[in-house]
Amino acid sequence: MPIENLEDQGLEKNPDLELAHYKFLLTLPEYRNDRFVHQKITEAIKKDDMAPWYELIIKDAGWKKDANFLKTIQAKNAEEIKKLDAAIEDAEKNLGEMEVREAYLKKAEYYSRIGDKENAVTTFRQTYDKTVSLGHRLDIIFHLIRIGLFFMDHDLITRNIEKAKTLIEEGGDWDRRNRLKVYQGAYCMAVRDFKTAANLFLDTVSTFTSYELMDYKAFVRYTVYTSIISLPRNQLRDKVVKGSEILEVLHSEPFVKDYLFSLYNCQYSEFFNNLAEVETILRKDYFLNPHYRYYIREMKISAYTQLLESYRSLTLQYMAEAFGVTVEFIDSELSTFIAAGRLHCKIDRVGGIVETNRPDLKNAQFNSVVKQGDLLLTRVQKLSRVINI
Amino acid sequence: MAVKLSKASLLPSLNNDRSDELNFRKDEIEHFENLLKFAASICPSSVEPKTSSQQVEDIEKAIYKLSEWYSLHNCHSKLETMIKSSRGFLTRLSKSKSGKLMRTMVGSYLDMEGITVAIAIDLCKDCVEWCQKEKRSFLRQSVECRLIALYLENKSYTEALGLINKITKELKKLDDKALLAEVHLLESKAYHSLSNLTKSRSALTSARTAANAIYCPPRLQGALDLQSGILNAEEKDFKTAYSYFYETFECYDSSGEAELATTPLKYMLLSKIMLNLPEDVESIINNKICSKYAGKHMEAMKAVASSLRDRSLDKFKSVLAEYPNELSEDPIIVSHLTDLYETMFEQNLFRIIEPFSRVEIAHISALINIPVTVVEEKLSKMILDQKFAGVLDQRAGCLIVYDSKVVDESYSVALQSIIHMNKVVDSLYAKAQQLTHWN
Repeated sequence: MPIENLEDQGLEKNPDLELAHYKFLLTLPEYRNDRFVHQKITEAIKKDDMAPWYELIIKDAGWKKDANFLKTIQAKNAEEIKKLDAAIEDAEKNLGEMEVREAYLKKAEYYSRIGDKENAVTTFRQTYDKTVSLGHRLDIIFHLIRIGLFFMDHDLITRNIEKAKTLIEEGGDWDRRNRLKVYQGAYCMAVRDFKTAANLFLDTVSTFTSYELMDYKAFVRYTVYTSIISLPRNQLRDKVVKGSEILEVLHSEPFVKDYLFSLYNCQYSEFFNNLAEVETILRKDYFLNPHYRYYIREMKISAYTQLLESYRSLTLQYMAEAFGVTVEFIDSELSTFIAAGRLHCKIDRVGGIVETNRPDLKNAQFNSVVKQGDLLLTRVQKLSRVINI
Repeated sequence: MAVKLSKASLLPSLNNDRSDELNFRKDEIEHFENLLKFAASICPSSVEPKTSSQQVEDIEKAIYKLSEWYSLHNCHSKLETMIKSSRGFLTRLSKSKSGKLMRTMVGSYLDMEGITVAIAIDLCKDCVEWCQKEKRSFLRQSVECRLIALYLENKSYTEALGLINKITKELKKLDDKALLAEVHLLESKAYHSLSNLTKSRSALTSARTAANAIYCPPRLQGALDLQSGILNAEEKDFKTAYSYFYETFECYDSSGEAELATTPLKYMLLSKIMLNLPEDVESIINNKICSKYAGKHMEAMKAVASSLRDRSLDKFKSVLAEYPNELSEDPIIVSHLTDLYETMFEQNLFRIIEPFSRVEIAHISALINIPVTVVEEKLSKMILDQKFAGVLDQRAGCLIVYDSKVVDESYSVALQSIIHMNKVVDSLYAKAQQLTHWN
């Protein structure tokens, strides 16, 4: 479905998350002086007169302040705000409820377009109070979530997601329900909750219309990244490797396809190469940059676990060859992970062997029964003391 | 100019014998080409030079003959120039005649050998633009149809799908069911190559509905059945696939399209092989109807069937090496045979492992005649996919097979009971607190 251009069904790109992406790129050392990024940002600022955002960029990215330019666009902003305020007053005096609400909505959208967070949020709150219908209220909340994602304001995002969930329970339509899932998934990715993100994304693969957040290819890419790290092998096979929509997009994204299939088909040396590239990609990504080290470490652990799962013991040489690295490298990696308790194995360096010692389920269960039983007994004793007063 | 006109009236009558028709004499060819130059000189919008109806007819005939001649003799550039230069002339003809002429020319161009797909795509795009200028929508749609087929050959799926969407909207408005069925069939093929089976199936259903509403020419019917068979085979429903392939085969066989009929026959044999019925393969090949298609393809399929019957992986591999053209050219056959190979490999391994509880991998590889590393990799994948319960021990170089254990539920049940008891204690505690407060 999404190959036909459903972009007209998506909401307007306001605020444009691509700009947030570019601003984030400025914080990375290699892009700090990149001309292309600078150009994109200046174009956007000029097009929409984004004075408040310009000030923010000057502060965060250390650009030179062009006072004249700033004054001109601030003047334009002030003018536009006056016009919108006049429209609101006019609507309140002469026209009906609908027009008042629409005038407020226009003002709020203008604030968000110029990148003024506080004013946008307050105006949206005012518009929200004037809005009656569920659908329009949800649209406002989606807009607020988008603003939150643009400025990565976690508090704003979580509050609005909660509100949206309650509203949808009351009676949201399927289109908005799916849209909320995509927004939630994007936020979960930003806070490292990859499992929820993967589930949400996989649910909405066939009904994706949120082009204002990201385009379809980026969406499928995120789906694959989050699913690889969180889904067990059989679910990964059913939902991702055999998923028709995902396969279709993967034809045009050969790198992601290689990454997925190299892990699934146990081709570990290629997987490590692909993982190195994924690391560079994630480092430059707006949502996943804070988590890229965690992601890479977890993927390494799952690759090792997958290999070790079918072996009781295997030679260090074989492991090193399978992953295309030296024996020393494998040794140091495994030691770190074993010491952290993430891998269940032991290295016999003298014999050059790695032995797995999978925790036996029955022993673990016995131990937990004993522990829990003890806790329960203490509590019953406490209870008896209370009752016997 | 006057000389040419007089020559036009001296057009020699041509034989009606089909075999001689194309053996034009050199002067006849020159004559046609002169007529063509004259036609090319006609500017699209002007009225000069004037032409009589007889001249128009002659030029038309000349173009038809020349396009056949060029096509037969692979004169790419000449045909291309003819297509482009005769556009002015086409405006003099009625729309239907000019449409037919253009279609014949483009058709003969695309039938030539040695055309790269890129050149063909350019030519078709050119024609589409011209049609758009001249507002010849029917012609444009049929040329766009061929363009989609070329995109599919060229594997530019995004462009193909974009064009398909555009055309389907127009065709639905015009209710042109024949072209709609063809376009939907192409859509189904595109999605199949993109591995999107759900969309491929839905496109095929729309193609069938459109085709059912009109008289469906046997070629189209055959193509629809072939595509249904392929999709069913992808879903591993080989019985239905076999019946569809049989229909296609009958259709092509009875309508006399012998070259097209070998493909469904091959697929029929392939379905029988995937159904694990290699004996049927023999009987089908020896059938009278199929005997005229005997050739390398059938030999290849027969060899695959016999290797399946013997359950021999060596034989299978040697067959693949022996018939690379027949078996490795067609991606559908390749994918199914790879699946078959993997399944046979696994079945062989299962049979070998069954009597053992602990066995050296070297021994397994000797029994199955496949190198140790390959066997080990395959075994580790099978263990990961939980196809059997076992573990590999590389230090001793052996495989240990566990019996499938009955999982003892008692401990998990005990844990659950303890959790519930905890909750009970919680609520009793709360109630006790309340009582003590009241007292």
